[in-house]
Amino acid sequence: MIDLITGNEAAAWGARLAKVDYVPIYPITPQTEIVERLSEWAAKGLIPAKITKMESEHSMVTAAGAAALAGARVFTATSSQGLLYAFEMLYNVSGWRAPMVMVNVSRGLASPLTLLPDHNDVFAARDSGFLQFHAENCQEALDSVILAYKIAEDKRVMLPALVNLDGFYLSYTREEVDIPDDQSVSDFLGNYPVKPLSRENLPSMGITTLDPSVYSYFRYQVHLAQERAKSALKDANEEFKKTFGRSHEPVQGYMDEDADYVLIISDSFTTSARAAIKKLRDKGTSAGVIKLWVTRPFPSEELEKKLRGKKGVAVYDQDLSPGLGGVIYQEVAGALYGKEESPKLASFIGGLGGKPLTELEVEAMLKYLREGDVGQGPHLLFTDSDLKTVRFQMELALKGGGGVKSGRSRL
Amino acid sequence: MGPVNVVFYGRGGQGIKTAGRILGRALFESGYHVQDFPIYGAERRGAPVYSYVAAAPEEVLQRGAPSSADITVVVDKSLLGNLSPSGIGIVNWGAEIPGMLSVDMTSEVAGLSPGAISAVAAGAAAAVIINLPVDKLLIGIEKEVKANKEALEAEERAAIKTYWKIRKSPLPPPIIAPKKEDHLILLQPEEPSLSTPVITAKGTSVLRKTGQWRLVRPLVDREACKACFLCYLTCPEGSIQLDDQEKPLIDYDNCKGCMICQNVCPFKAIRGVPESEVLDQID
Repeated sequence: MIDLITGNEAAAWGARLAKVDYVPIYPITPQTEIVERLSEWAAKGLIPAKITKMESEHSMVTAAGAAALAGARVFTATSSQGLLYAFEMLYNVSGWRAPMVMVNVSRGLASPLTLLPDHNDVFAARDSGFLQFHAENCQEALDSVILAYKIAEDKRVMLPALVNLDGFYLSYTREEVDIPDDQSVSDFLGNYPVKPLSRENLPSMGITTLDPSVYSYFRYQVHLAQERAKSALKDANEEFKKTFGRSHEPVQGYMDEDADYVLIISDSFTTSARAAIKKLRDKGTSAGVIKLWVTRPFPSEELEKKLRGKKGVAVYDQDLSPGLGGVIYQEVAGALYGKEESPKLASFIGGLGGKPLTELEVEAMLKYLREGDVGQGPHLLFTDSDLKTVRFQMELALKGGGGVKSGRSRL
Repeated sequence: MGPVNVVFYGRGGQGIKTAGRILGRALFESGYHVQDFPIYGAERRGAPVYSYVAAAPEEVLQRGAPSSADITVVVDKSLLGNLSPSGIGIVNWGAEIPGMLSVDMTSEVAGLSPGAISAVAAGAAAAVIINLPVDKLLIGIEKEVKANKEALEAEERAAIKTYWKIRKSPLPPPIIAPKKEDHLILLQPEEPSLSTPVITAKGTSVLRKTGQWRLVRPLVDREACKACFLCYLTCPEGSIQLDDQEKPLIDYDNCKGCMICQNVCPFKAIRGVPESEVLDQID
């Protein structure tokens, strides 16, 4: 069934079709619509899930991980500050090898405060052991949730997964989404592989320990499972394509194959990048876009293959590690280091706090690449009118404006 | 060619989000690829609300609000001072407004719920889009409007009437949004006083006048007022100050019209007048 639904609803549909058993929730903008929709469906008896409102995201992720090990397929969702509030539990549930799925509707981190998206929230979790998927559009939001279960629950993997979708640009945007039918998703996913706890079925999935060799052993197993997730992902994708007619490659190209220059990007602004590149192509610029759908496990091999022989690569980071630069730039540079025919790289920071990616910015990035001296970067994509907005608001914050001029306060 | 972009400007309670969804649904039913989304400043009755619809025969290669629209529907005329329409402009107003097509949408839905105007606003935009037949508009209304059968039919009739009225009218020429010159700059490090987000002044809400949310305006009868300043003490927004006789001065830029002042006044010196009645007469 093709319908117009928001990114949040698409994520909720993913959970619904996966027939999740348990959804611990805690509200935060712009994620709340996901758990609202699931609560509504549960209240109407449309989904069998038990929904429990927790007192914080920390408890929410704890409950999610624990339930996943007790035999329940678990879904949950959060955003931004909520994800960070749950942070210590992310490392716990990955160490528990609990194959739950959590959606993060990205939103920039305070301070200053914003509701609009960037990826410092989800990339803060890059070392937690969670698998990480990034949706460009509402269809990919739904498909990513289903694929995340398939890969997370694969015996080679058994790790929790994060699916990221951008606040506002996807969360509240309706687009047409092909909602697969119930049965084909059930057949695709199969039964949840973790057996419920019982006297007969006592799992021994981890050891509580202070011994450093034991710690090293188990923590590194998380890394090895991420490595094995690459083949699990490949298999899942093939089966997904057979069942649903679509697939989601870890590294997706757009007009990139014959392009001299490419732009690397992830999430919803990929669409803006594709629009701008299409226009530049019409003007004769040999440029393309490469989108990262998966960032954990990091698709180094696929990326290296796609970038081999390119003249220049611009990495657009919608995140910032102050004192270093863009997170994805560092990872791309790492993947290419020492490789033959590796292209010139340039690092750009943009879209912080949801600042739209414009044609002007895409053109500027390609100009940097073509005209040489790109330096180490990062280069902030920031314009004269951006600065004027800042200066105007700072003036207001310092000097004030408005209010009743003639009155006075009695107290 | 890029997608067709439509924007609806109105206020919370007028069904602006629904107007976008009706049009989005109608375009989707007509075979277009569609994106629709609202932008809220503050989700409440009376606050300015915008919604956007983009449609194309192929994938809508666009994210977020477009820099200019092909069709602008202004459902609340009082917003005109704060925004710039682009493309073909349609405004809900009984009298002529230069450069725009005036359509009195409010009287089309007289007697219906305030949100009923959403169907008419969607119908107005639909009328300008050549390949959007009226039956698809009706599917949009049926699928997106939550109302009983009787109300739904009344909304449909009003939307159809507006649709045909605009189809038969000559359209104003498109308003060309001025192209903004801009260029990338290199951001320089600043001293802490200029690189930390701190607010030191009061009265900084001038960019978001919460007074625009007000549906009812409190008016003070200065003769009846005995300067007890109960209203001043209970105003939850700090929007009442006192003059030299210790009688209330109401800050209409920020008063949200909660009318607590009217409730607490022992002398019935404050009355509430609907904004629609006073907008053009006071101040």
